[in-house]
This record gives sequence, C-alpha cells and structure tokens, in this order.
Amino acid sequence: MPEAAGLNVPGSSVCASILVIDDEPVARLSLVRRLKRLGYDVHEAENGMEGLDAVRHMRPDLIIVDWMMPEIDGPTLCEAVRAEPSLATTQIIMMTAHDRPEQIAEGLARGADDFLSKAASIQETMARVQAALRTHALVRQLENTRDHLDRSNQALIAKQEMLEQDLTSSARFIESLLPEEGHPVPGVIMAYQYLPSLALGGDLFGVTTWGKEHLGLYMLDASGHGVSAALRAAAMVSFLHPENLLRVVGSYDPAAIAAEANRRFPMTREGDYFTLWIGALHLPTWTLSSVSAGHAGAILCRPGQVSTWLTQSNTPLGFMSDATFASLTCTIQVHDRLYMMSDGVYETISPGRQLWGRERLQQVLEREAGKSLHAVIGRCLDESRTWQEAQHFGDDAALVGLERIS
Amino acid sequence: MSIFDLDQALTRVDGDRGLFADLVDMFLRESPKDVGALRAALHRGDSRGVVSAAHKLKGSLMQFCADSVLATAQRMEELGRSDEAGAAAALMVTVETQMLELQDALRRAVDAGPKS
Repeated sequence: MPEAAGLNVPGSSVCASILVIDDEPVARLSLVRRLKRLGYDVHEAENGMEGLDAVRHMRPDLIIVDWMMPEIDGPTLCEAVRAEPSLATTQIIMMTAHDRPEQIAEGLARGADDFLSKAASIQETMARVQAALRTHALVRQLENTRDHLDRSNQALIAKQEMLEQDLTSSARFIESLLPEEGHPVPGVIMAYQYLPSLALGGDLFGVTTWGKEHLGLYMLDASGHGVSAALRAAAMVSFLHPENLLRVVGSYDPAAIAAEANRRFPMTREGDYFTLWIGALHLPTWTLSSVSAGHAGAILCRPGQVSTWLTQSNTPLGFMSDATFASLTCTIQVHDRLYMMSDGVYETISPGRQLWGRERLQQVLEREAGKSLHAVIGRCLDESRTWQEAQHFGDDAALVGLERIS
Repeated sequence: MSIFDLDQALTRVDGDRGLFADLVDMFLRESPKDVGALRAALHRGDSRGVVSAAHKLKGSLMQFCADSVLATAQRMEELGRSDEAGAAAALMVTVETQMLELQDALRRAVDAGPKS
C-alpha cells in the first residue's frame, strides 16, 4: 500500500471531507475506497440530485463529480454550488471520460476548479485531490483572515465613533465656556469667531469682568489635541475665574496670575503644557497690563498707526516652577482695537509649504481697520483659509476683537 | 491477447485485491443493466440513449483497463453523438460478445486469487 498521499501536505488535511458524485457505480466505488484508504472523510452520491442535497448538508471541502449524469449533470451541479456563498471555499474537480478542450473550457466557465480524466492513474488522481484540498485550505485561511479583518475593522469603527462623540461633547462644553458677544463692559464692544479643529485643539479664550474695575482678557493654548487638551484648557479657565484669582493670587495682576498658574500647572508626564496671553484692563484709567507666556496672541491696532504686538519673550507655563513673567503696560484710547488670537489663525500652510504668518495677519487687520470688528475678523479667517486652500483649520482658530468705543 | 490488463487494473487500485474483487462483483451485477440499456436504446433508435448507456459502460470498463471493449463502447458513443444509431446497432453484437468474454475473464481472475 502506498503511503497516505494527503498526510504530509502543507495546507491539506487528512480529515478533509470529499464528496464523490457519479452515477457509474464501479468507478465511484473504486474512487471512494481509494480515498478512504488515504484517510479522507469520503461520502458518495449516485446522481446529481442526491449529490446536491449532500453538498448542502455536509458542505464538503472537495467535490469530485462526473460530467455526464442524468437529470443534473456535472456542470449544472457546479453552477448550483457556485451560487451558494456558504460553499465559496469548496473545490470542485470534474471527472470526464473525454479530454476535449472545449469541454474543459465549458466546465471551468461553469464553476469547476479542475479536471480529471476517468482514465487517470492513481498518482494523477491523488495529486489533483491534494492540490484541490491545498487550495481549499488556503482559500479558507484567506476567508478567515478576511473575517478577522472585518471584525477588527468593525471594532475600530465603533471606537472611532465613540471618540468622535467624545470630541463633539468636548467641543460643545468648550463652546459653553465662551463669552457672549456684545458689550462686556460699558464703552467696549467685542466680536469673535471660534472654529474648533476637527481634532479639537486646546485653545480657549475669555473676556470677563474681574471685580468692579477690571476687564479680564485671556487666550490660552493647552498643547496637544483631543479631549485631554480640552479638559486641561477647561481646568485653566476655572483657575482664571475671578473669585478663584482673588483667593489664590490675591489680585488681578497678570504677572502674578501667570506666576501662580505656572506653579499650579506644571508640565505633565506626557510633556503637555500651556501657553497663555493674559491681560487686565483697568477700566477707570483704561490701562492694559498684559503678559504673554510663550503665546503670541494679542495685537493692539490704533487708527493711523502701526500695530503693536503685545508679546514678551517669556517661557510657556509649567517649564520652570520658579519662573517669573514680565508684563507690558499700555493705555487704550477711544477707537483702539485689541485682537487676541490662537496660533491656529495664522499658522496655516499653503500647498507650497509657505506659512501665512503673523505679518500677513497684521496687514489684513490694518488694511481692513475701517470695517466693523465682525467684518475684519471674517476677512482674516477667509484669507487664512484661502492661503491653505482648505476650509477647515488644522488647529483651533479663535480670533477675538475688542474696541473701545467711548 | 487478454480481454483486459490485470496488472494495470490492479495498479489502479494500489494492488488492493479485495477492492478489485469488490469492483468485479459490482461490475458483474451492474454491467448487464448497462448493456441492456444500450440494446433498448438501439431498438428505439434513441441516439441520446445510446450515448448515455455507452458512456456509462465506458466509465466502468476504464477501471479494468479493458481496451478492446472500451474502444467498441467509445465508438458506439461517438456514433450516437452523430445521430447514427443504425451504425451503432451493427456494433451491438461485438460489444455483447466482448462483454461476455470480459465478465468471464474477470471472474476467473478473482477466483484465481493473489498473483504469485
């Protein structure tokens, strides 16, 4: 007895199931017995109708079917099998007493995977059976891999949807922290546009009264993106609440506020930190004190004059626990405009990799100075978008304008 | 010259004489039905029936490497395909004679037991 032909073939299995369908009993018995001796799980059917029932019931790895049978012949059975997706991995070898090329072409077109002459030697028969079972094993493996990938993809999509819901909720929360447009104090008008990026940056701003004599102004940026950055930004907003400032800082002095914030918000283990521009407008004297801690976020525009960036070379918050912060002081005249902005407004990149930059932003602010705050802000954002040739900003874009009107 | 090639027929079943004997037993029971079906189809002048019966007979004859009777069955199938049932009828006596000879030879081969 020859060694079992299917035993040591990679991808082939001795437990593979084979269905032999042939109306000629002698040939069928011969093939079935030889396959059984090789250890395969062999079933037989004596006509196409019975064979099709068996195929659906047992879903064999391999079908060996005679071409010529009454009622349902081999090609018809092939078509029926190929019409059932659950049998996609089943291999079909068609047996024929002829080797006419046109017959082989027809059989292949109707769903057969291989052909076998009824006069084929035992060696050829077994080689084709093994090849078919190897193909079946590979196709099954591919199907399993595809199913696994499909499941992984579904899980990823579900997680992505959860993350997007989190981002949306966080964006709504951040927006709820923003001030109302209009008159934050008598004699001052304010307008802004806030466009959170799709990934949610950590940029936030505030315009709020601090006690009876000050208008507090700030623009902050929590480094990083996503829910974590948004939550840290919200924590900084809580810190900058006027009652909290009086309690923990004892004044509305921007330099003292920045120093305390620097102590309370050290750089995280992940390397995240804050940049901040903060100003306090003393209303009885219209004196603005401001500090920029790593943030280039405010510019003072005076009618007929070159604008002034209210920035100093201070470090961001959280880098050194004992850092001190120098402040600037200026007086705000009637019709002066102060703009605070996130870096997302001007750090847009053209398709040619050129930065739009602060200088171009300043040019727009000065060129459009005669227009309303709303119009100027809209124009700046439009030009920045045009520069990057994209509608959405890559980072949060916030541009706030305040004008002393009396 | 023998009506079938015993060595080749045994090779086809990996030398398994038990299986060979079972195949012969089934052939002796089933082949008369195929021959009968062939004769009936010829009697009706049914070319498609001739093709079907001759084809089925061929399938079993291949298991025993019975070349001469296989060639006759093959010829009858071809004549049936070309709708020449009359010409096929002329071969009926030949195929019946060859079948009888084959059946007899197969019986004797099984009765003789393992080849030394």
